[in-house]
Amino acid sequence: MRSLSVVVIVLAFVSLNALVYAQSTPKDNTAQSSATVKADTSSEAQPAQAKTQDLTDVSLESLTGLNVVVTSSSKKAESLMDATSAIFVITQDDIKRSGARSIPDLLTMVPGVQVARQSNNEWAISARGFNDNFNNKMLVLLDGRSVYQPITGGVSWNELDIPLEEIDRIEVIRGPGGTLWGSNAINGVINIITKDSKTTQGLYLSTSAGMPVYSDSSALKAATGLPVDNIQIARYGGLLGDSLYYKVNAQVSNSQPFQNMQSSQNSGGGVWNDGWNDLRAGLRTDYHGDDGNDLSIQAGAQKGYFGYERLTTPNVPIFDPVNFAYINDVNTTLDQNVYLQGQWSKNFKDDSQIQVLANYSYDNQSQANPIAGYQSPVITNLGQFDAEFQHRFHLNDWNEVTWGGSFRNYSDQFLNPVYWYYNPANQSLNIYGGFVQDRLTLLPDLLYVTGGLKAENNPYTGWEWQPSGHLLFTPDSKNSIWVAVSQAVRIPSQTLETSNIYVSGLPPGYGGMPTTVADFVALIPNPSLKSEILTAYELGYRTNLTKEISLDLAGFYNHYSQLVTFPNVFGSFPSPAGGTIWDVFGSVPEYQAQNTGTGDIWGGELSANWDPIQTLNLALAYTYQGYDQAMINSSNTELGAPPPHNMVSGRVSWEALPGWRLNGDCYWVDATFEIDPNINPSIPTLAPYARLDLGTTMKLDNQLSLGLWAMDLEGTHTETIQTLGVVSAQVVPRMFGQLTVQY
Amino acid sequence: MKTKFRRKTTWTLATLGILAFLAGIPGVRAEVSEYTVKAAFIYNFAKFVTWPDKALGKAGSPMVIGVVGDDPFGSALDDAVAGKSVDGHPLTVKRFDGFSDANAGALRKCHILFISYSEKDKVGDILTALKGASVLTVSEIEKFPLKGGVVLFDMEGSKVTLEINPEAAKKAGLEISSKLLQVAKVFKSE
Repeated sequence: MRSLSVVVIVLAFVSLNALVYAQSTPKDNTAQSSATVKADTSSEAQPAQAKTQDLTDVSLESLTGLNVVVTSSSKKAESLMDATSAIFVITQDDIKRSGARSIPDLLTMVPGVQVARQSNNEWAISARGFNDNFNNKMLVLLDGRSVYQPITGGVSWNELDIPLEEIDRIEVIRGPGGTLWGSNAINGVINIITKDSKTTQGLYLSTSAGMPVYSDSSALKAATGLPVDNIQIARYGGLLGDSLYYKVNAQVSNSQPFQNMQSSQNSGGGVWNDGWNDLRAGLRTDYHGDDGNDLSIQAGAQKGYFGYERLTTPNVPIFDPVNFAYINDVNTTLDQNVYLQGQWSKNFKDDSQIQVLANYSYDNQSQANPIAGYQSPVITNLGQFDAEFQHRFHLNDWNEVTWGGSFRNYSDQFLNPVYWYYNPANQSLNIYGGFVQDRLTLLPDLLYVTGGLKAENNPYTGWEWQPSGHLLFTPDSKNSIWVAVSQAVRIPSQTLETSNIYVSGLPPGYGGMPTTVADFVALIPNPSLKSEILTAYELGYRTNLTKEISLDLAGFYNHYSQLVTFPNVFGSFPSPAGGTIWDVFGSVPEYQAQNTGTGDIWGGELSANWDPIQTLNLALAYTYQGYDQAMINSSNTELGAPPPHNMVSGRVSWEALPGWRLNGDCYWVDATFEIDPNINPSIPTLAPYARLDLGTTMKLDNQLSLGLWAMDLEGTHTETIQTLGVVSAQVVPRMFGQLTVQY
Repeated sequence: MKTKFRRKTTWTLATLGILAFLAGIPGVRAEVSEYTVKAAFIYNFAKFVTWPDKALGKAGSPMVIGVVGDDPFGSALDDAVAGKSVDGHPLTVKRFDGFSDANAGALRKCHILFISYSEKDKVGDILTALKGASVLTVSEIEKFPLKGGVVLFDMEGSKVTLEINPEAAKKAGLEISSKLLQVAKVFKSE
């Protein structure tokens, strides 16, 4: 009950402040009648009631000076009717109406997408299966720049904690996107698009603070009150010249650990080491010329500390074979990165377009402290350079061609390794290729067919071909049906090709072993690993049943071949120390990534929106996924599990009074079966998990808004499977308040 | 189990209670919605643009504001022009489904035509179909003036801005008052 009183007191305090503020605003504002707003030459005219107001007598100058509530959804949703893939767009309205503190939180609203929070700063996110915190089958782009990292495969979501207020929209495509985006876009593509500085003029400030709340009694309850999710944001946008805009922004954020009741196996004290502390800043300029030229240049930097706990279960300690030491990998990553990127596009009168994109980023990750007994922290440096070109034009009335080329270079460095060795320690790889896509209008306004092919070269597997074919049928403006067949590949990661990872070991001299070698459970590199291949068959239907109801249905059948699994291998393998790993008992296996897996996953996704009245918005997403026995067998590994059968997400947002909204979000994920219990009953499964968020947002006046949220009300729970190498912390209920000012 | 249930319930109730308390705050007010402002602009276009006499017809005949494609205005546009007339021409709103050859003729008879975002891929066809007709084309579709449209509704921050292509207006036989041009960005084609 103590926690409850804290909640009430804090909420009451914040509301009281709001009340005081509201009453201290100028009288003529609050007392304004809902009738006509008189012509007002000042640029800050603030009419009182949105619903009945009449602005037709307001002068032209005042109209251009009015701050308006932008309705982003209509525009974006309508343009989706012609899409031939399972695409979902998270709009600014969706972001404002959710209590999301991060991009992963937002992704729970997308059908087909599984979001599992592994700790306070780590997430496992996937579409159509293969949920894992190193999910290597989904590509993520930030303003066109790939943030998929080639070393382990996957995305570091904690590096993507950009202010949600900077996001224009997030386009999530489930299913293969290899033809347009290249390798690793096999199960989906997430395009995060930030706001143009043209639309972010003026000053924006936001402060928010939260805290965990425990519903159970526990020794750790005493720790309640430590702040989580404290995020301060500042942004200023201005005009540099004719059609030339800029913005600068900065974010300071931090969070205490989630204070899990489930005690940490590593730090022992019961507090999971998953707090974080992050600083980031960015600069962006945009030019929009009359001649169809658009130029955007942005730069940014981040410095963040992220706590983690790795690879340790009580029975399987990590053993470093080079330094002959058992280690405890509970540490904090210090992540420092910078990026510079430019995008130029030229639109021509005939609707053709040229687009050029180039970017460079450098990421330095090190352990904040060396592991006990070691001199230096483990360091990973990754440089990434990207250049892309794309040209779209109409050959004639019924034939639209898009073609382009891309070049990417990764160069990385691994310093002071401990239990995780790369050979060589400095690597550089080039990935380059080209694509062409042709869209034919078979019957105007009725039937379209699109075919495309991407050819891409990578140093591990050489040339990879990723074709796709789409058919679109639009019987009228309210209904559309699409069909797609595609093939996409996931190329091997550097880790699986070139690294040795030592999980446990027997020290030299143990049990009669020689004093110079040890026996390990290790991941052995496989330099001849091939790409994973997906052949996907998709079908979709979109309809605007009425003005108020829209439905989006997608079905898929995915056949995977050459899936990477981790079978046991026996024998002698060279050690990074120069000797041979000695398998003394002949029964302690090593693991190696091999392309022995195959399997099918199928499913259906439904996304429905219902706005019964203008002020009430309801959204529902439902996903069903099934899989065959081969997929279960292929999942018999340390990495990855077949997808949960059912997922549901629901959202309600009601504008109870003008400017005042009540919001509720829920998310439910069915149980995950790591493996058929008949094959190996010892591997754990994950119980279903659910989230429930409730919150309110209000416009106190034209400049000031307040949000109050209670998150994960369902209670303390775990969302990821605890296996070797992946330890799951618990998600705890939290609440937070946010105050924003905009001029 | 019972305590757990009770705790959850109290939690929810507390949250709801606080929300209800907040509802009582008198200062909560609305901003103007985007399409209310855009509707007001369209009304102003009727006032600040001059059509050829031939296009307007005799006094008393309606001035038609068309919306082609999905209508984003809700009731805002109807509310803005209800009961109003410009120079003796009562304003009326007409809505059209997505552009097709079937409604091309009717679109040419509009005085102002708002081309919805749903027609994004058909802008070229629509503008071709309107060639020679005195129609003030208005849209939110990116690069609309470059494509030959007259007025683009754009956003700068949270403000609605206008970009006008005077040459396209001239081709349609429309005269745009300098008052309107003053508050707009004027598109200059090369």
